[in-house]
Amino acid sequence: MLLTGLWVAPALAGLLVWGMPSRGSARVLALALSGVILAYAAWLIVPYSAQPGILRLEEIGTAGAFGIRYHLAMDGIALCLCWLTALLIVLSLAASWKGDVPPGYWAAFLFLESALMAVFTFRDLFYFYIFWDLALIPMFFIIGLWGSSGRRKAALKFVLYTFLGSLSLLIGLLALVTLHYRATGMWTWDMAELARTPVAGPAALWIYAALAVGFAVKVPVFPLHNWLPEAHTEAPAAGSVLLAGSMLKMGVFGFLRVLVPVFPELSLAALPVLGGLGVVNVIYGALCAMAQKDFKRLIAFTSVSHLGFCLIGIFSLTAEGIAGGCLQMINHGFSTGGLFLLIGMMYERSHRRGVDDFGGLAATAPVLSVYFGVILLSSIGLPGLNGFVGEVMTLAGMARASMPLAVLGSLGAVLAAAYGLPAFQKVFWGPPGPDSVSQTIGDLDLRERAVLGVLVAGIVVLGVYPQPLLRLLTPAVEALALR
Amino acid sequence: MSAPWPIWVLFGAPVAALLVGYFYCHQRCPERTHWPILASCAATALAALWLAFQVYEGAGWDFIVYRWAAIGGFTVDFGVRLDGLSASVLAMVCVVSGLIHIYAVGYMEGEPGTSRFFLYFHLFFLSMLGLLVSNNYLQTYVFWEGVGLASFLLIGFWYPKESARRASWKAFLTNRVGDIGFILAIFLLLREAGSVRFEEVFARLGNITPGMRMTIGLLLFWGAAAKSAQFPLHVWLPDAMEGPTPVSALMHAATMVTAGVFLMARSMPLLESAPPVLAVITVAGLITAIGAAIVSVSKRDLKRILAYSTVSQLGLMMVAIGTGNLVGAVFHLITHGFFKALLFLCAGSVIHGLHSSLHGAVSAGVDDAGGLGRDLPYTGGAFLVGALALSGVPPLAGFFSKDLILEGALESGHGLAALTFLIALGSSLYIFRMLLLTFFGARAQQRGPKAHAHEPGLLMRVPVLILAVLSASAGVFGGTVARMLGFQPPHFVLGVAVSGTLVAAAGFGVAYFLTMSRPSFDWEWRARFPWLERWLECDFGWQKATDAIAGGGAALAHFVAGAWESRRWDPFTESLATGCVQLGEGLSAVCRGRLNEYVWWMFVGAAALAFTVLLCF
Amino acid sequence: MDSGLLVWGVSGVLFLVGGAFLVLRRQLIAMIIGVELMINAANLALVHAAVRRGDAEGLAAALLIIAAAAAEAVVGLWLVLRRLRDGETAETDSLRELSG
Repeated sequence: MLLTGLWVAPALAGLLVWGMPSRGSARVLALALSGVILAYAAWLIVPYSAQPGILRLEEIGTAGAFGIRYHLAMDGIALCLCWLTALLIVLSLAASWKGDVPPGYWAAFLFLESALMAVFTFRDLFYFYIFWDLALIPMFFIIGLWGSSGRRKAALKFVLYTFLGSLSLLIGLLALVTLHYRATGMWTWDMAELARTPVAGPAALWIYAALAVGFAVKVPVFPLHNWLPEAHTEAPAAGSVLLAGSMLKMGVFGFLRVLVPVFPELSLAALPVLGGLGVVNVIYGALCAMAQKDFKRLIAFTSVSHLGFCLIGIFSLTAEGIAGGCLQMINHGFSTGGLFLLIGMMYERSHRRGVDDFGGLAATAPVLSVYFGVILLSSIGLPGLNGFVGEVMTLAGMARASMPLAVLGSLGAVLAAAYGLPAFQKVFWGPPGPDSVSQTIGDLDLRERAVLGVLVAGIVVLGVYPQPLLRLLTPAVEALALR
Repeated sequence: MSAPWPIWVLFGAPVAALLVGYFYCHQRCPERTHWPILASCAATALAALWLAFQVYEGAGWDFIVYRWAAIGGFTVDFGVRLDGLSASVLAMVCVVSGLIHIYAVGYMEGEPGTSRFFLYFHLFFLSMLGLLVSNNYLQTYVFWEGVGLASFLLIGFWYPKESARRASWKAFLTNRVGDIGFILAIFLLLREAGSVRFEEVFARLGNITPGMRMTIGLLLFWGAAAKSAQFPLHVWLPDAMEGPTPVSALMHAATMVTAGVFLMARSMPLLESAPPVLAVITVAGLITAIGAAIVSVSKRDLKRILAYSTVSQLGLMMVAIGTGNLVGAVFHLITHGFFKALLFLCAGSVIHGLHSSLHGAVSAGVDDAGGLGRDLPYTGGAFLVGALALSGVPPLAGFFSKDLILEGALESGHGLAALTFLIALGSSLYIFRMLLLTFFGARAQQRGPKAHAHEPGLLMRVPVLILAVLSASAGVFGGTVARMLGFQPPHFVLGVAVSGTLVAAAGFGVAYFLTMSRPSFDWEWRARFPWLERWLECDFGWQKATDAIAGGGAALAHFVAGAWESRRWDPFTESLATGCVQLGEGLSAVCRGRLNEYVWWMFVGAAALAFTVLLCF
Repeated sequence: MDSGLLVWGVSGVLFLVGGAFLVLRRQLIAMIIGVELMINAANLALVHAAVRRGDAEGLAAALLIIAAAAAEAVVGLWLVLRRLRDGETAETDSLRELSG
C-alpha cells in the first residue's frame, strides 16, 4: 500500500482541488496537499531502508489477461526521482502563488505528479506505458491553457511530437511482449521477467530501436529534440520547471529501467550510437544555447545539453557513469528548475524575457542576482555545486568506456561557460535594456526567497557532499552496470 | 597522526568570515564587511605559519576528511595534505594575502561595492587554501575552478565597463579550456591508477604505461598552462588587469596564477616518470618567458608591464619544473609572490596617487607617470626594492631563487642556460624601464609632475613596507624551503651568481640608456614603427588568433542555431505535421457528403476487415 | 431440403436486400427500411442458431435486438419527420453537410 499511495494520493488530491469552489481555496489546498505528499515521499526512506540488504519496497498483484500485473517497486533511482518530483511540485506551486488561475491549474499539477510517480514506480510495462502517456495530458493543458502567447501551437507540437514517440514505444513494447510470448509461452509485461529471458536475433534490434526512439523523444535526444524549446518557452514558469525537472527524466528513466536491463548486449553495442548521440546533445544543445536571445529558450537548450550527460553516463554502462547520470537528473532538476523559476519571477515583474531586455540587475535586484548566479553556476558545472558531480561522474564513466567520446563530451564545459556567462553578464552586469524595466524590477520577496533558498541549499549540499545520495543509488546502479 | 586544530582554522575561519560577512555585514553594515574577513586573514596566517613551522620540524599530514563520492571505479575522498610543498607555499600565500587584504581596505575606500569586493576576495582566499592543502587531484580541481570563479568575479568587479566584462569572461573561458585537460587527466588517472589521491597515484605509477603517463602529464600541463598563463593559453592574464589593483596583485601575480606551477610541482613524481613531458614544459616555459619579456618591454600601461612580467616569471618557473628543479621552482614561486605583490601594490599606490588626473581610468600608463619619485618617495623606494629583487640583484630574494633556476638550467645544457640568462636579462630590462619611466625623469611626453600625486595612507603603506622587507630578505629561506621539500640546502655556485648579477646589471644598463640617455626613445620607435607596436600589442599575433577561434565558435553557434535548427530542422519536423493536414484535406475529396456512398465504404471496410480476420486466424 | 439451409438463405437474401436499399436508395425512409431489413436478417439467423443449439441466451439476445431495432426506428423516423417539418425533402442529396 505504501507505493500505491504514492501515485493515488496526488490523483485524489488533484480531484479534491479541482472541485474547490474558489480559486483561493484551491490554491491553499493544492499547496498543502502537495506538501503532505512531499513529506510522505520523504518518509518512504524509513520503510525503504528498514530491511538492510533488501533495500526495496515492492507490491505485486496476480497476473491477469495477457500477463498484465499490478507490480510496483521502489529502488534508489526511483526514490530519488520521486523525491525530486514531489519537491518540484511543491516549489512550482508555491512559485505560481500570485497567478490568478482556476482550480484546474493546481489540479493539473497534482495529476501530473500522480502520473510521474506511477511511471517511476510501476514495474509492469503495461501500466508503465499507460501512465507514460497519461502524463502528457495535464502538461498539455498546463501549456495550452496557461502558457504565453504561442501556447497553442507549442502545446499541440508537444503532444503530437511526444505521442509519436509514444507510438514507437508502444509498438516496441507490443513486439517485445509478443516475441517473449513466442519464445517462452508466457505472457508477461513485467520488466524483471522480460529481462530474465532476453530476446535475440534481428527482431531484437528493431525492438531496441523502436524503444530507444520512444525514450529518446522524451529525453530529448538529438535530432528528436525540437519539440522541447518551444514547449519550455511557452509553458508557464511552473510548467517549464516540471517539464524540465521531472518529465524529461522519464525518458532517461526509460533507458535505465527498460532498455538497459532487457537488452544488455545491445546496450553495450549501442555505445557509439547512443553514447555518441549523448555527446552530440551536449555540444549541440550548448551551441544552440549560445545563440539564443530569449532567456527561456536559452535555458531550454541547456537542458538538451545537460541531458546529453545523462545519456553519456548511462551508455558508458559503468557504475560511476550510470550513477552520474542519475545524479545529473537530480541536479538538472534543481539547477534548471531554479533557472526557470527565476526567469518566471523576472517575467512576472517585467513581462519580458529577452536577454537584451535587462541590464544591471546586480544593482537593482541584488538578492535575485545572487540566487541567479549560484544556480547558473551550478548549471554550468562549477565544482562545489551539484551540477559538477553529475558531469564529472558521467564523463569519468565514459572515459572507461570510450576515451574519444569523453574528450568530446568534456568540451561541454567550455561551451557551458560560453553560453551561461555572457547572458549572466548582460542581464546582471550590463547596460540597462531599451526601457526602464531593469530599474523598476524590484527584488525577490520572502516567498520567492524561500522557494529558491530550498533549491540553493540543495545545490550546495549535493555539490559538497553527494555521497549519501550516491549510497542510496548504489545497489540499483551496480545491478545495471555492465562494464 | 591526528590532525592539529590549526588545520581546521584554515577552512573554518574563512568560511565563518564569509558567512558572517555575507549574511550579517553585507546586509546590515556593508562598510564593515572587511572586519570579520581581516580577522580570518590574521587567524589563517598564524595557523599557516605555525603549520609551516611544524612541517619544517618534520611533521606532515595526509588524511581523509570525508568520502566525497565513491561508486564503481570512481572513488574520491576529500582530505588534507600538508607536506613541505603545500606548507611552504601556504605560508607565503597566507602572509601575502593578509597584507593585500589590509592594503585593499585602504585602496577600495570610498569605492561603491567594497563589501562585495571583500566577499569575492575572501572567497578566492578560501579556494586558494583549499587548493594548496588538498590531497588529491579532484579536490584540487574543485578549488582550482573556485579560484577561477573568484577571478571571474573580481576581474569583472567594475562591471559597468564593457572591457571588464569581456576580460572576466575571457579569463573564465580560457581557464575552462585548460580545465578540460586537467579533468581528462583526472579521468585517466581514475582509470589507470584507480585513484586520484596523490600518494596512491604516485605509488602506482609503475602500473601505468609510459605512453599513458606522458598523456596524463601533458593534459595536466595543459591545465596548468591556462591557470599559470603559459603560451598558448596566456591570453587572459593581461586582460585580467581590468580588475582592481589588489586583485591583480594577489591573484594575477602572487598567488592564483602560481597554482599551475604548484600543480606541476605537486605532480613532479608523475612528470619525472615521463621525460618528454618535462621537455614540453621546458620549451613552453621558455617560449612564454622570452615572448612575454619582449612584450613587457613594449607595454605602456603600468599594470600590463607587470602582467607580462608575471607571465614571464611563471614561464621561468615552468622552465625550472621542466629541468626537474623542484626547489628552484617552488622557491622562486615564493619569492616571486613577495616581490611581485610588492611591485603591484606600488603600481596600485601610483594609480591611487594619480587618481585625480586619471579621469576615472582604473589604470595608469607611462604617459601619466614620470618623475613621480619626488611626489612618491616612499612608493618609489619600495618599487626599487621590488625591481632589484625581481632582476636578481644580491642579496635580495629574487637573486637566490633565480640563481637556483639558472644553476638547474646550466646542469641541463648550455643552450638552455643561455636562454634562461636571456630571460633574466629581459626581466631586468623591463622592470628597470618601468622604474625609470615611472619614478625618474619626466620626459616631455609625460604628465607625471603635473599630476601632483600623493602618497597613500598608512593602511596601504604598511603592507608595502612589510612586503619590501620580505622581498629583500626572503632569500634566507632558500635552505628552509629546500629542507621542507626534502632536499639538501642549495649550494652556491659563484660563477652563476656573478654572471646572474652581471646580466641584471646589463639589463639595468640598457634600460638606463633607453630611458634616461635617450629619454624619448619609447615614443620615437612607436611613431616610426607602428606595425611593430601593433604586432607586439597582440602578442605576436596570437591574441588575434585566439579571438578568431572564439569568433569561429560564436559563428558556429549562430550557424547551428539559426541556419540549421531554426531554418532547416525545425521547419522540417513541422512540415511533417502540416503535411498530414494537407494529406487529410486531399483525401477529404472522397467524402462528397452522400450518405449512400458512406454506407458503401462502410461495407467495403467491414468486408476487408472480415477478410483479414479470416485470413490471419 | 434442409430447413436450416432455407433459413440461412432467407436471412442472407434479406441482408443483401437491406444492404442494397442502404446503398442505392436516396430516400431516408427507404434507408431506414433497409437497416430494419438487415437487423431482422441477422435476428432470423440468430434465432435459428439459438433454437438449433437449444441456447436461451441467443433468444434473449434476439429479444434485445428487437427492442434496439424499435428504438432505432423511432429515432430514425423522428429525424426524418423533423426534416420534413422544416420543409425540406428527405432525400440524401439534400444532406451534404458532411461533405469534406
